[in-house]
Amino acid sequence: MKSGLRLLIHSELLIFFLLISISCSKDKVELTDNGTVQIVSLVASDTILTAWIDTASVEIVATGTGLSYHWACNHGTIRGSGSTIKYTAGECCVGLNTISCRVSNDSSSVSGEIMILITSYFDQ
Amino acid sequence: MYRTIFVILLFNLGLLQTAIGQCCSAGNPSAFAFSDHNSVRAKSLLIGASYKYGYSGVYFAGNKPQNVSFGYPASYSFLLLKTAYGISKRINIQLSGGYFLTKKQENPEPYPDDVGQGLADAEINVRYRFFKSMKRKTEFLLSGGLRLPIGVFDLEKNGVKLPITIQPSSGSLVLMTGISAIKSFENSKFRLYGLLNAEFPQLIDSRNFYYRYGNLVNLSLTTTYAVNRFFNTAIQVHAEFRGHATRENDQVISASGYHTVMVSPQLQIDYAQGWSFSVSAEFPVYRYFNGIQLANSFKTGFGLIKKIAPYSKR
Repeated sequence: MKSGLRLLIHSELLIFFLLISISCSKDKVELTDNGTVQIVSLVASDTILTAWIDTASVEIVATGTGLSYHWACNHGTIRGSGSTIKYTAGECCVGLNTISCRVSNDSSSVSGEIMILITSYFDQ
Repeated sequence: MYRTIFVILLFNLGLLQTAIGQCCSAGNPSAFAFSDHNSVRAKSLLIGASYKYGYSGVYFAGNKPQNVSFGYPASYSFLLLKTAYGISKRINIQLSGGYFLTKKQENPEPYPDDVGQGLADAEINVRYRFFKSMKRKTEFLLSGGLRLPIGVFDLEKNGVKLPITIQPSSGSLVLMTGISAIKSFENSKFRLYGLLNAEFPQLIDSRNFYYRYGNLVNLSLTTTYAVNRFFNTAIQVHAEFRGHATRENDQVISASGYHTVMVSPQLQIDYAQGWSFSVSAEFPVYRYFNGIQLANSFKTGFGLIKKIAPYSKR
C-alpha cells in the first residue's frame, strides 16, 4: 500500500515536470530571408485611432509565390487574415502599438511592422 | 476526521478558479488556486478534477455598467486537475494544472470569434500550519507558491496571433503567498474559513508581448453548514483587488485593475466512500473597474474529488 502511494506521487511529479520540460523546449527555428519574398509596402488606413471606436485597415503587399501571412500586435485585436486585416483596440491598449506581419513561403520569410497610436476613448 | 478534511477541500475546490476579466477578456483562471485554506492530513493524498465556466458580458466604467456598441462578450471553459499531499501534520504540498477547452472573445460580423485552446499554467504550493488550538478549534496556515507559465502562449489562428487575454497561458511567472484560518464551533454544524492572499505576476517579455499584470489581493470569508452526512452547503463572500498593469517603458495602463465583491453559493455531496462531488456558482455584488473594461457576469462549475488515505484504517 505504501509503495503504491509512493508510485502514485512519483507519477504525479513526473507528469508535472514533463509538462514543464515540454513547454520549455518550444521550437524557435526561424526561416531566413533568401530574397524570394519581398515586402513592397505595409500601410494602414489610419495610424491614430480612438480606443473602442476606430478601426484601421492594414494592408501588406509582397512579391513572391505561395505567400502566407502571419500577423501579430503587441496590444489590441486583429480581425481577418491574409494580406489585409483590420486592427482595433480597447481602452486597455492606449499608447503606441506595433502591428507586425511576416510574409513567408516554402523557402523564405520577411517581416515588416507599422506603428499605430491608440488614444483614449475618454479623450474623444 | 477525514470527512472534515473532505468538506474543507471540496469547498475550496470550488474556489480554485477566479476569473474576472482584466481588459478585453474573461481573464485567466486560477488566480488564487493555491489559496484554498485546507490542510490535508499527513500521508493523505487527494486528487481532484473540476470544470469551470465563466462569462463576461457587461462593460464597466467605474462602478457603472456601460451600454456600449463596441463591446462583445467573452467566455471560457476550463478543466483543472489538482493533487494535494500531506507531507507531515504541518506541511502540505499541492500541484495543479489546467486546460482551456475554450477561451473566447466574440467579434462582430463577419469576423469569427477569437478562440484560444490548450494547456494552461501549472501551480505548485506549499502550505504550513503554524498554529492549531484544539481548545479554540482554530488553526492558521501560511502558504507560498509559484504559478508556472508552462501553457500555450503566442497562440496563432489563421495566421493571426491571438490577443494576450485569449492566450491559454498567462505567459508569466506568478509568485503567490497567503494566510488562511479555519474556525470550528462546539456542537455546531457551522464552520468558518478566512483567507487573505496576494499574487505578484512577473513581466511577460515574449516575442509579441511586453506586459505585466497588476498585483492581485484576494480576501474571502466562507461559512459552511453540514446539512446531513451527505450534503454540505457553503456561502462565500470574496473580494478581489487587482492593481494596474504596465506595458512598454513602464507605462501604466489606466484601463486596467479593478476591485470586486462576489458571492458564491456552493453544494457538496459525499456519494461514495472517498468520493465527493461539488457544484458552485459565483455572482458579482459589487464591481469597480478602472477606465472601461469587460466585467465578469457569472461563473459556475463543478468538481470531483477522491481521497486516498492508505493508512487511515489500520
